[in-house]
Amino acid sequence: MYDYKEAVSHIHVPQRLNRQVLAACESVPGKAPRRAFFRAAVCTACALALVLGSVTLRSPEGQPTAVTSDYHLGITALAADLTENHTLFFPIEDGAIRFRASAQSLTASQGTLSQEGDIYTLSPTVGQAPESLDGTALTLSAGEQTEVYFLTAENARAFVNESGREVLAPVLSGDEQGAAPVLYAATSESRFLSWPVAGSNTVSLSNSYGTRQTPQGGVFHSGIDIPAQRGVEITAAESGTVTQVGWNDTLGFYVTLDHGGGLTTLYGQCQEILAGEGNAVEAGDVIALLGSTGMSTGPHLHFEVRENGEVQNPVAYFSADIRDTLRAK
Amino acid sequence: MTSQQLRAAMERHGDTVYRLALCRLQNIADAEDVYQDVFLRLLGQNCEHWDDEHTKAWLIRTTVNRCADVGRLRIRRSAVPLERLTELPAPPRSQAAALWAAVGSLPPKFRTVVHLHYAEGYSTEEIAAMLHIPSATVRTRLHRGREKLKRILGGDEDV
Repeated sequence: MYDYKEAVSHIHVPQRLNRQVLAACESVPGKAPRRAFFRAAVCTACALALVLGSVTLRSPEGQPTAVTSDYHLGITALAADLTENHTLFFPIEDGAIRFRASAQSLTASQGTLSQEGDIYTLSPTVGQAPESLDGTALTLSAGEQTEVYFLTAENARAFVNESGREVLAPVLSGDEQGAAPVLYAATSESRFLSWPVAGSNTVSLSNSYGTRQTPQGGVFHSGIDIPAQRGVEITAAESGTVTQVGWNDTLGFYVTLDHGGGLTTLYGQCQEILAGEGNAVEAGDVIALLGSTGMSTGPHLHFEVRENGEVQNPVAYFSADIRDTLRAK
Repeated sequence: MTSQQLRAAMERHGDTVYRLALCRLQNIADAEDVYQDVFLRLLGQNCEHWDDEHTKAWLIRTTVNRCADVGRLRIRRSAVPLERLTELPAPPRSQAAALWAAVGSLPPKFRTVVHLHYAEGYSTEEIAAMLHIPSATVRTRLHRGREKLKRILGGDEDV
C-alpha cells in the first residue's frame, strides 16, 4: 500500500481554491460558508403518508407494534431491557420533529427541545435545516435507567406493505423520487442486519420492495432483489437457526433463518443451499450460492425480512453506514 | 489567526485536507466546499500556541466531521477517478488509479482510516486520538478495510 501514498501524492490543491479561501477571509473574517442540504421533492400523497405515517417497531418480545402519528420513545417502551433494537422514524413537520416520551429527564445534545405534557418538540438551531439534527444524542433517564438515542437524517418514503398499511422506510440512492427527509433514532446498541451478498451493492429498482401498480392491479413484492453473478456466496444476515430448506417454482431454491424475537429472513432464487435444516449459523456464515432458480429473469438474491410472519421492507433493517454503500438501479 | 498564518497553514496542510476530503467524498465540488469550510473555521480558532502537529490533527478531525455532514444527505455520485484529480500525462497510471478507486469503494468509515494510515502515515493510536474513537475501533476498521481491499484488488499482495 506504499503505492497508495505515492498515488495520492500527485493530488494537489488547485491554487484557485486557496485564493478563494483567502478572499473569503479577507471580506468576512471567521465566517464559514453555508452548506445547502439536499431536499427531495415530496409528492402530496407521500407528504400525507409521512404525516400520518405508521411505523412497525420490533420489540424484544417479538410483538410488532404499529405506531401512528404518536411516535413513542421512552423508558417505558424499552421496559427493563436497555439493549433495544428499536429504530423509530420521525417525519419532519414544520421544520421540527415531535415525539412522545415518558422519562423523568430528557436532554438533546443540540437543537431546542420544548415540552408539552409528554409530547416533545425538537427544533434545529434557528436558520438551520432539520437535517442538521443529524447526530443529535437524545438522553432519557427514568430512575436508575438511562438510554441514549442517536438521530440520523435520511431520505425516506412510505411503502405500502402486504396488508395495505403504509410504513416509512429509508430509500436508497437512485430511488429517491417522492422521498422526504426524516430523522430516525437508534441506540448505540441497536442491532442491524449484515448485508447478505458481499461485493454486490445494487438493489433492483425495477422490482423494488412493496406494492407496485400494474395494468392487472397491485403487485406486491415481498422482498428486495440483489443482482450478482451466479455462484456468489450468500451469507446469513444475522445469527440464528436454519428453519427451512426447500424449493418451489416461484422462489426456486430457498432457505429461511429464524433469528429469535419473531424475526426471520428468507433467501430465494438460489443456485444451491449449503446450510441444513436445524443448523445454527452466525451472521456472515455462508448459507447458499446465488442463482436464478424459480421465477427469475436473471441471477439475483431475493431477500425477505419478516416480523412474526409479517413482511417488512428489508432496507430499513440495515444501518445507515451500509445503506450509504448501496444503490438502487 | 491572521490571513498570513492561514496562507502558511494552507501551504503546509492544504494537500492533506484536500486529499482526505476527496477520498472520503469522491466528489470534487463537495471536497472543495469542505476544504473552504475547514480552513475558514481554522481562521476562527484561537491557535496562537498550536504547533504544527496540533494544527494538522485539528484540520484532519474537522475535515472528517464536515465530510460526515455532507456525505450523508447528498445524492451519492459515482466515484471520482484519479485521472481527474492529477495533472499527470498519459499513459494512465493504472495501478495508482486502481488503488485510489479501490479505497474509494470502501465504506466511508473504513475509507477514512485506511487513507489516514497509508497516505498520512498515522498509527492506529494516533488516528484514534485524532478522531476521538477507541483504538480497537480503528484497528477493526483498518483490518476489515485491508481485507476488502485484498478482495477487490485480488492476488496475495501484502496490503
